[in-house]
Amino acid sequence: MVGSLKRYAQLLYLFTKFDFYLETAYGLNFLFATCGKIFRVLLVMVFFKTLVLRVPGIPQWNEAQLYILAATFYITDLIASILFHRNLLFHLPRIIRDGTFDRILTKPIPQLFHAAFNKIDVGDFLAFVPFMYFWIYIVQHFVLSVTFGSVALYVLLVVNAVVFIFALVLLLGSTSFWLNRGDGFGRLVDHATGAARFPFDIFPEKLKFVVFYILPVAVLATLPTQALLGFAQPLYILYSVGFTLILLAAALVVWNRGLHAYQSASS
Amino acid sequence: MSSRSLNWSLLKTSVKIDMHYRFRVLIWMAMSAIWVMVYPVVWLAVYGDRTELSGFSRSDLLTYFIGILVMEYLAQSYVDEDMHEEIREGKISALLLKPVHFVRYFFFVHIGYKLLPLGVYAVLITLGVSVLDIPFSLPTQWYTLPVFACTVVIGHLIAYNLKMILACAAFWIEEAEPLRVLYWIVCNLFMGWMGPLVFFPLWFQQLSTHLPWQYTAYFPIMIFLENVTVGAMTYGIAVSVVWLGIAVAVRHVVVRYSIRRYNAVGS
Repeated sequence: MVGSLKRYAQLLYLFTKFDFYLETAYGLNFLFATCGKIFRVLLVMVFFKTLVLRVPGIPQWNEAQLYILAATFYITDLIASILFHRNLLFHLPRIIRDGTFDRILTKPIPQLFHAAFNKIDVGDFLAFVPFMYFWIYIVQHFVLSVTFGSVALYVLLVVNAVVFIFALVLLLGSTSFWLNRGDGFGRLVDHATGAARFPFDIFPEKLKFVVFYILPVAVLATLPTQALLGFAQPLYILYSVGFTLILLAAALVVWNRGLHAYQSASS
Repeated sequence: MSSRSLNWSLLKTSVKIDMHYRFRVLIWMAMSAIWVMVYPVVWLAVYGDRTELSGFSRSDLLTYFIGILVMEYLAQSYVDEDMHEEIREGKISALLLKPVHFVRYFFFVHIGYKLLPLGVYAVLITLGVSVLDIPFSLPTQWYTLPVFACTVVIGHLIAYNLKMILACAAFWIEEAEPLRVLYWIVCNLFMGWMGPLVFFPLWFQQLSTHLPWQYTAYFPIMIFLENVTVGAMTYGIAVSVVWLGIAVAVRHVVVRYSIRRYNAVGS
């Protein structure tokens, strides 16, 4: 168990190192990419700052809570983005389509691990800089009444959110074993999850039902933030964790069936 | 083939391509629509019990976001996406041999790509306003629509020329995608994608007045909403014409020098 964990850690380190060499080979591109990622975080900060300049907050969400929400969204988004998001949603459909997925099948590494983590996005590590500043700003400027229990629950729900994204993108990426251009639908869902940076409580009732229960993207930021601030509903926490586990199981089933269906198109 | 029939052929070809890949077109449209649905919901929550915010009624706000959605197709340009790959893979060599300059070729091809989505939007907006009773502010002055049309044309020409300059970056750097993403973020921020620029701090509004991007979406919509004085309208049109002149001149120089260093690496 420890031995295989150590092996996976070594592989992750190698993937990271390789991606770092690859990305920094074109210095200017690396700079632009990093600036773009930092700008994306800043953009949301500017949006919420503008919003609270107009009014003290929006129903049920004051300034500090809005910032925590945005910061929570970015921590899940960044972790997913660094580790597996692009690999599963964009890279996997491409290599399945052109047949280069063969190379993954022939290597002595579990296929899912290789497909999900083979490109670690080093540039995204630098996006943690404005993100950390965001947290420091929150802690310095607002009085937060949090407890050890709420922080622990928050961390747990952030992990749940990352697993939720992993399951969702694995499910969408795996459809490429059957669909010729499966990445289109993936991009659409990816866009939809991006909306999670806003508080879903303010949405109209029908839309709220969708984002809380049907495609519960509320688990990405709204729920962990509510848990940290102490107003999450225990039943909904259970629902979200249960939903994530079912989604993960479904994604793994689809992945395994996809592996069997793969026909190595271009070989 | 006469110049006019050549342009017409390019337009027709793009419409046919769109009709063939209609699912892809619908995905792209849905991706834009998600954001244009989310931002008004957030802003409407900010309104609370207010009837207006910075001169924007609720109806104006909804019209604004419908306008942003339409302007993305009407005035924005995505020529850089296509050209980036053409240059990188050396496919643009074929275009350079054709009896039509690639600047003109992409211009008409991209106008063609807009027709199908715009047709779909026209139907959806008409249905939404007439059947679902979505509040929509229509202009009351006789001169508004002609001036709006002029600003849309100027806006599109500015956007196209700026994107063509950006596209030419691929002649100079190996991987221009990060630069495109960076540009997209800045462009979205200043064109009013996140909300009417009057909601933003004064310094930001003043800065955006002197930059080209607001003239590609925000300014035409403000004219449609009759939310600008005649003086501000005249000033805005003058600034946008100056930006158009600058964009055309810079594009001309950049295209000329870029082609000189092209070595058709992928051909």
